[in-house]
Amino acid sequence: MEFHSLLPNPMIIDYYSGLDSVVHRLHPVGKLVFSLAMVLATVYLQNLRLILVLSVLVWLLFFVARLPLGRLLVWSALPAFFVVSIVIFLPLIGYGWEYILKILVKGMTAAWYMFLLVLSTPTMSLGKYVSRILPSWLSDAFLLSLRYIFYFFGEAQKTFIAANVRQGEGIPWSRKIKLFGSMIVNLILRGYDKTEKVYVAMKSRGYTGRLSLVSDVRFRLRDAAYLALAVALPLFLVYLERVVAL
Amino acid sequence: MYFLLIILLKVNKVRIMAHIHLPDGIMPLEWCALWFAVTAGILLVSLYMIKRKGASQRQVVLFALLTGLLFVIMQIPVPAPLGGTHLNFTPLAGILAGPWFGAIIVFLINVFSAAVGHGGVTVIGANTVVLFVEISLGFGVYVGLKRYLKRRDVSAGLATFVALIAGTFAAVTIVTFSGGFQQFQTALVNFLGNPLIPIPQIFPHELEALGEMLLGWLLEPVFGPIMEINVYYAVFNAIIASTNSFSAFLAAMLPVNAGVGVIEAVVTGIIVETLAKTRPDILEESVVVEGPMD
Repeated sequence: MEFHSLLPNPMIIDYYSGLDSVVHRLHPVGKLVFSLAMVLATVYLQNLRLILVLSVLVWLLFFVARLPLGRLLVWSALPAFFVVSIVIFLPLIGYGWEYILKILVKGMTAAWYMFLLVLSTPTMSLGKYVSRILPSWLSDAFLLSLRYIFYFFGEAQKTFIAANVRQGEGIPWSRKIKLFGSMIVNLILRGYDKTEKVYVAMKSRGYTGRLSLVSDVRFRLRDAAYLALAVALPLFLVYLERVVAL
Repeated sequence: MYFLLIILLKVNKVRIMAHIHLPDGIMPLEWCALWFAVTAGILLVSLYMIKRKGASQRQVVLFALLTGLLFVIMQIPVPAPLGGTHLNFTPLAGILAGPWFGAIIVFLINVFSAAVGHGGVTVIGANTVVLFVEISLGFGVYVGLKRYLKRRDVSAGLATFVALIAGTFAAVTIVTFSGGFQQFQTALVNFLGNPLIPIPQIFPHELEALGEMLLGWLLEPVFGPIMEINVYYAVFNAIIASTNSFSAFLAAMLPVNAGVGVIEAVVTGIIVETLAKTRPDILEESVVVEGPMD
C-alpha cells in the first residue's frame, strides 16, 4: 500500500513554498487574488487561443518561481484524470473534439494556477489570511485542520511503511482490505488521542478561543503591480474575445 | 480519448476512485455561482444549527482533526483489483461528525483538494453539494438502521453504499443540468440525428412518459401561475431533453461507482465496528453537544 504517488505531499509543498524567488516574495493575498482571477478568466473565456495564453503564462511563472517543471508535469496527471473522466463521455452525446479539447485545457490551466499558488506560498501564511474572513471558531478550526493534514500525512506514511514491511506478498484481497480498515481505525484513534493532548496543551498555554499568529507580511509596490495584472489581464482577454472577436 | 484514460490509469498509476471531483471548465460560471449559492445556504444552516446546539472548544479541535484526517485518508489507495481504488469516506464523516459539522468538513476538504488540483476551484460549490448529499445520507441512514439492525458494521456499510449511489446521482445530475439548456437541446438533436451512436436507454419509454406526466403535475402548480406558459414548456422540454445526457453519464459512472461503493461499504463497516469495540464513546459522541460556545 502506498500514498497516491501523484498527489503533492504536504512536506514537498512546504519545501517548495519556502524557496526564494520573485514569485515567492510576493504577498500571499496578492498571489491568492491573482490565481483566483486567472482561474475565473480560464473558465469564462471560450476562445481556445486565449485560454492557451493563460496556460503559457502559468508555465512561465513556474519557471520564474524556480519550481520543478518535470514534477509539475507528473502532478498534472491527477487533475488530467478528473477532466478526462468527465469529457470521455462527451463524444457519445454529440460534442465535438474542439469543445472537448477546450474543456481539457481549461481544467488543466485552472489546476496549474492553484499549483502556482500553493507551491509559492507557505501554507500557514496563506491559511492565516484566508482564516480572517471566517468566524473566529471556524478560523481556528481551519488553521488546526491545516496543521493536522501535515500531522496525519506523516503518521499515515509511517503506518503504511510499517504495514508494507510486515505483511509480505500473497495476502488475499479480503485480508488486505481488513488490514486497511484496521490501519484507518488506528489513525483515527491516534488522532483522537492527539486531539485531547493538543487541547489540554492549548488550554494550559492560555487558549481562549482565538489563535494568535505571526506578524503580517508587508504589502509592497510589486504586490500592487501583481494585483493590477490580476485585474487587467483577464479584462484584456475578455475584451479581445468579445469586442475584437478574436 | 479512451486510450488517453487507459494510459493515465496504467502508466501513471492513477487508480479508480469512488469520487470524481468535478474539474474547472465543466460548467459555465453562472452555474458555478448558483452551486456556490446553494453551498452557502447549506453552510449557513449548518453554522446556525451548530451555534444553536452549542459547541465546546474541544469539539472545535475535534472537528479540525476530522477534517485533516479525512483529507489525508481520501488520498490513500485501498488494495483492490485493478490496482486499487481511492475511497470517499464522506459517509464515515457523516457517521462520526453528523450532517452539520460534516457540511463544513466537506467544504474545507474541497477547498484543500482544489488547492492541489484534486478538483476545480469554481466547482467547489457543486462538489460540496455532492459530498453533502453523501454525508447527510450516510448519517441519516446509519442512525435509522442502527435502531433496527443489531450490527453496527452492517448499518454503516449499507448507509455508505446508499450514500455513495446517491452521490453519484447527484454528481451526474449536477453536471448534466449545469451545462445550460441550449447545449442539451443541441445534444438531443445531435443524438436523434445520429442513430449509430448507441446510448443506453436507462429509463424505458413508458417510464419517461410517466415521468413527463408527473413532472407536469409537479411543476404546473408552482410554475404555471407565475410564468408564461410557453416559458414553462421551454424549461420543461429542456429538462426532458437533458435526460438523454443524464442517461449516458449515469450508465457510464454508476457501475464503476457502485463497484467501488461496495468496497467502501465493507471498509467503513470494519472501521465502525472496530471503533464500537475499542472506543464506543467516539461513535456515541456527536460532535455537536449541548452547551454554549466557550
